[in-house]
Amino acid sequence: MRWLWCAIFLSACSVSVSEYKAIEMNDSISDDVLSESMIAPYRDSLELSMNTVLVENEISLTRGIPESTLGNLIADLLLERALLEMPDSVRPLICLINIGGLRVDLPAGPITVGKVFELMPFENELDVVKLSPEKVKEMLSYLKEVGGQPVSGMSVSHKSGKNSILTLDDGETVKTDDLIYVVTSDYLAEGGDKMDFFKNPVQRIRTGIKIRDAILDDFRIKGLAGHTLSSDLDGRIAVIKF
Amino acid sequence: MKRRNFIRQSALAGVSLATIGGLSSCRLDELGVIKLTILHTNDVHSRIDPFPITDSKYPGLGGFARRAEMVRQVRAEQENVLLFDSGDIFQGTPYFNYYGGELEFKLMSEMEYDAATYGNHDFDNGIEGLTKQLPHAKFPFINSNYELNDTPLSESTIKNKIFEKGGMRIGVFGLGIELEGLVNPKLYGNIRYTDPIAEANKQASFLKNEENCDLVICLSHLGYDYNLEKYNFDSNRICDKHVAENSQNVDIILGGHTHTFLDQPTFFTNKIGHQVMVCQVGWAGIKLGRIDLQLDRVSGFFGSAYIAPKVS
Repeated sequence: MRWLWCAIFLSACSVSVSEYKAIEMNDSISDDVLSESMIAPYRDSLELSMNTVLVENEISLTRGIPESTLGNLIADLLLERALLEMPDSVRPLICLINIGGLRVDLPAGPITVGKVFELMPFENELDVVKLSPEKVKEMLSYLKEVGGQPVSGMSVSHKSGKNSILTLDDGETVKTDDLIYVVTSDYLAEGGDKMDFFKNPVQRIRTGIKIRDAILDDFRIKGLAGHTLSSDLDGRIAVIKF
Repeated sequence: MKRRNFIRQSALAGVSLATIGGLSSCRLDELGVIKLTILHTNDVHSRIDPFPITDSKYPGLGGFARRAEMVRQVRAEQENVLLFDSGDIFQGTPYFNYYGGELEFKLMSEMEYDAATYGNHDFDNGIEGLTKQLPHAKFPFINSNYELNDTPLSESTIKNKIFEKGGMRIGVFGLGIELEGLVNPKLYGNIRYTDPIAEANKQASFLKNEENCDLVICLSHLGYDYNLEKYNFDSNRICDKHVAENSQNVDIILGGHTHTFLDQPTFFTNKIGHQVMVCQVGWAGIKLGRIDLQLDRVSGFFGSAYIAPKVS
């Protein structure tokens, strides 16, 4: 079945016919031999790189809410990287990302470069967003509403009927008038995943560091130091029910 | 008026040449018809290999080697073929992270792409990263609305290009999306974006009225239509629909950026009541767009008003 067009000329005195097709590139079309021979060496070399082992993983690290072993691991390493990159004036600094952005669980055993590409296929970068007290409040309501997201450098407790409490890892409770820096992805900083509280911030700093590169660097360093990956649940997001 | 006269004269001249000498490269058949096939891609995003067979959305689809084979087949069957890409060639698979776009350009050159325009992701390794790969591209990059004077791209980018196929003249220009807010400023440096609609009219008028092109094609990375629900956060952004409706002399827009799968083109009415055909083939090289057009030399030039009866 085909769609045909009659093309009426601007002079409106003659008609021609044209046709449009969006041809699907499926396996009914064979591979061009020359192109395939050009691709093969790149593909082979890429496979070698992708199969490079970065680090050993002790136990299967999985995704979930309110917190998860994989979410905690990634949020922790991103915060650590941001603390290194940002000057001391950018404090207090916490981390908030989205569990949906982590695309696969990490199985126990060797973790390859390819696995990190599967975990983080996006080209998102690390941003640091300075939030006003009102926005911090919105962030806490959001965390309560969605039931948790990967965080680091803080713990949050939600009590029914009461305001949620944000406690920094140094033990300080964030007061109503405190400004706070949050390291996150550029996708979320723009309000992705309904994180509207990141929009119109007091300040936004772009690090230019890809999240995947930060993960690759961290895993590689741990592997070279002879460490393994590990992560625990530590109650950083707690829903207290009475 | 002047334009119409020119067409009539040149059309008649073309026919008589073909009839008398049979030497014209136009290869007009007895009806005075020239056929042209335009192939196009957009947002291929470094998808060198087909999607894995396990992919939930596009299992086993796409792939450069397959596209090359299809292009080869079309070229074997058709005399007059043009092949274009509307940007975002780069970014999306480890091929780009590891080789920076080198293989994408080499394969596109082998397929004999006639031209491409820049997409926002083509700046993902900065202007330097793109410039470094350009020697691998044996086809021109056309952009008309970025001011590139203070960048290394100024010498390797052209504002428009005229292709001659079978005696007809096809004028092509290119439109890029506003990079501010979309791309890290460090990456796009001194590129300055200018109004795509004004530039479209300027280029199209030049190509059609001064260069006497029979057909004017816009390679666009502006995006299809931001007023659709999915993009309502970005509804002020200029899109192909705006360009089509506010232009004259543009016949076809080959679009990109919004990854819109248009299985059939959309037609918009332009400033002077003519129809403009807007095409886009999703992303990742899953589909190859093919337009088959016929130019009737006796009556003049490509029509831009289309009626679409369904023929089964």
